[in-house]
Amino acid sequence: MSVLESNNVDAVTVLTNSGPPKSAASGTARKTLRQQIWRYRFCYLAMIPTFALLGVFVFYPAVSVFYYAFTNWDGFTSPQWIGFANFAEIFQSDVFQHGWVNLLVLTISPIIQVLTVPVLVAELIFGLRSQRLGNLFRTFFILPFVVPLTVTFMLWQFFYDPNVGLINTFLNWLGIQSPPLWLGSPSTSLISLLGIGFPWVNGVAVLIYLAGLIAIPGEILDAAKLDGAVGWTRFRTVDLPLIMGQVKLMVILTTIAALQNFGYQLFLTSGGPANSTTVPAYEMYEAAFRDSRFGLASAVGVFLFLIIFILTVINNRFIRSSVEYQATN
Amino acid sequence: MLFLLYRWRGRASVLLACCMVLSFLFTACGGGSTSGTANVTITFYAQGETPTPPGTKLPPGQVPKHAFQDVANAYHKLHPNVTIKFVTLSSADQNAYDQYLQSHELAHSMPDVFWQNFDETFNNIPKHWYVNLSPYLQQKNPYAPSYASWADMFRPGVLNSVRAPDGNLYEIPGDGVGVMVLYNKDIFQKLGLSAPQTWTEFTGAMATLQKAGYIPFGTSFDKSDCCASPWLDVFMQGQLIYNKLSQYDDTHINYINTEDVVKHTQKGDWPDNSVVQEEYTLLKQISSYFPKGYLGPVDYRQLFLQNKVGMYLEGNWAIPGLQSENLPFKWGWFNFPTITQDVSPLATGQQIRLYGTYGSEQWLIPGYLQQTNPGKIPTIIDFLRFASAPQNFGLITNEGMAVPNIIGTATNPAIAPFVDGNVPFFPVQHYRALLTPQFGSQIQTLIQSYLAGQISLDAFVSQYDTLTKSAVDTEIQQFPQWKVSS
Repeated sequence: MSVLESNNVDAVTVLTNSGPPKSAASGTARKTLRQQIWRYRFCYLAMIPTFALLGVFVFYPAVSVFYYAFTNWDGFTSPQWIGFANFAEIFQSDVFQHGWVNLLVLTISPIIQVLTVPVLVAELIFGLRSQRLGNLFRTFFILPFVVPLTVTFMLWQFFYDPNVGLINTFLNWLGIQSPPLWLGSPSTSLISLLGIGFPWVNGVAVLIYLAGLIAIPGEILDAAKLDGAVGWTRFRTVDLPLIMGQVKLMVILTTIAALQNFGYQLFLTSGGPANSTTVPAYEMYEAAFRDSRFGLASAVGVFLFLIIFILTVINNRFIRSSVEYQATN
Repeated sequence: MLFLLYRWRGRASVLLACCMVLSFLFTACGGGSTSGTANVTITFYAQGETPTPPGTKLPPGQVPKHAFQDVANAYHKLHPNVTIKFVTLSSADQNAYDQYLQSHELAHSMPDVFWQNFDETFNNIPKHWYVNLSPYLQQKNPYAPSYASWADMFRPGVLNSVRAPDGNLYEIPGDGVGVMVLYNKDIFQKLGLSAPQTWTEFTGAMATLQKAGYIPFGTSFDKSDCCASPWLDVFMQGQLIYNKLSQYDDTHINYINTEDVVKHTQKGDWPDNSVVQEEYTLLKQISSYFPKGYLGPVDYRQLFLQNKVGMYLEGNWAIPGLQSENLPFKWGWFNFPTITQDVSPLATGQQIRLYGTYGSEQWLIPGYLQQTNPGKIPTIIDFLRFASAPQNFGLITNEGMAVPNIIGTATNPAIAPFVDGNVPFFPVQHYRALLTPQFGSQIQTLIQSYLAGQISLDAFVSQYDTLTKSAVDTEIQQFPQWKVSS
């Protein structure tokens, strides 16, 4: 993989350096390009509807949010320019202050979850001698994905019910007289949300990590074995550095999902009790559809976009993949 | 089309293509006239009274609904060119329904008549989402000639209760919801309890129920629960301010509307902080009888069906469902108990009835029709007048066990207690409907914080006051005429 990447870089360099002088070549190149476009004009024409639809339904709404974020807009009538007032509100209002803190917890926690349990499960499956058994476990871990998320939420709501729920019934049976109120108390509601999905075996993450482990050349594993690197030592010195690409991907995907997710709030808690579980994305939704404040909702969207963008850049820059790991050595 | 142009390249083909495009456009965008004898189809979302589509498999105990279809068929007989087509939507999930309204109002693809609660319409009136029905209500209803106007057919106070902040009426409030305490008669009998009449009896009954291992009072203060918290607010606050109502009724319509609240907040006598303090002191006292975790999602209705809850507040809409459940225990209703002087010095001793225009028969017409197809509106209005005539409306409300707001429409005997005229109706909306939707949400969060012990009673009252003033400022921005000059 590293060879392939370095070849690509070389190829780009060669193309850039070996081209004819710009002034002489540009006219010819432009003409050629025009000729080529004319030659394949029906292909380009055929692509227009797709690009038009993408532009109208994907790019235009996304880009227009940057404008609406600075306006007072009800989603229907003409927006009025109000400068940074919406951004000021998302930092000053009590509900958003709760939301940012909750978001931090609800983002860090799934990152930790996706970096631990699925890696462990992938290692266990990778270590199985029987491939058939490995395939079977892979299927089992991916099977829960066929259950709609709303059903999962409803199940967990039942588990957490303080009156007749599974968890408290069990705790009562153990002799605990005053078990937690889970989603019914501001002091336990956020932690209850973190518990949803226990034991947090994310099937997709398992498959991605497993793919990374399978891609490690057998020679490297054999060499590690000869050097006496087994168990935790092999995981730390061989497996983990070589699946850093997958780790990086999962961190990015999980961060984005956590920042955008408000399913818990929508289906389970409505952000409560007492704002204890609310997040900015949920308040964005409420601002738009409950309060008709699409300007404020746009400002939240823009700010979340900026956070995701910055985190992705940091992630790409500072979490090095296995290829870069080899290069520095 | 492009390929055809390429092949033929002739001017004739270009002309032909232009004609085709224009004809498509005219077909798609043309509103069409509905005057005269042209065929008209009115699409109608009737929420809970939507006729059951043929072939629908219903749960055991439920019977298909057909009354509204019968009324529509009768209208079609009178006006063969008009067909009423009922559409099936889901408004059970408020969030999803709000999204539906937003997108379909934008796309001009709403049903010609649709359902929405009046308090949810206020935010959308500046967006011109609804046809102003005030002028039509002032006209005579040809299907009820004994009334001077269509508006005169409604019970006194009903139209004022749904009047928008701009003074207009945007919905036909056909029916309403009465609220009482639903209780498990078998449990009460087993414990030697009778339906409590006073607050003291009420708390005593709850203590007995709790001792016996039952959940005394089913409720949830989760924001997804439509009703429990606002209903308790009306029942309790209503009893404490009942003798002050005339003080707030500046508009003299026997109803305290948003305008009254906005003006009195500026004058400084709304909210009455002593009343707020007293109400929430009492609420906190009884909160120990609520289900565990009541600040979050608790399905107390299901717990009642499972014989675990002694009583809870419920609207008359629940009766058909409860009857179809064939519950293994007897159940009944009683009015919310009276708060007496020995409980609170602010008590007026006046028992009140909670009744809100929140039923299935809330009819609105999308505002864009005034531009896209104004000729259709008189036909729609004519059908609504026909459907609201007592002889027709009675069929619909009787089947749905709704409380009719139309004079001369008989109420189904099963829900007679909900229209008990001996207990006065309390003419103030709950906090969720009084000011902005954001205010409703903020107050509910505040109540949660207070009941969870996160803030003191004094802080609660102070923040309640601050939030009210902030919401009033927002209302004044929208309706500057409500600004009281100092």
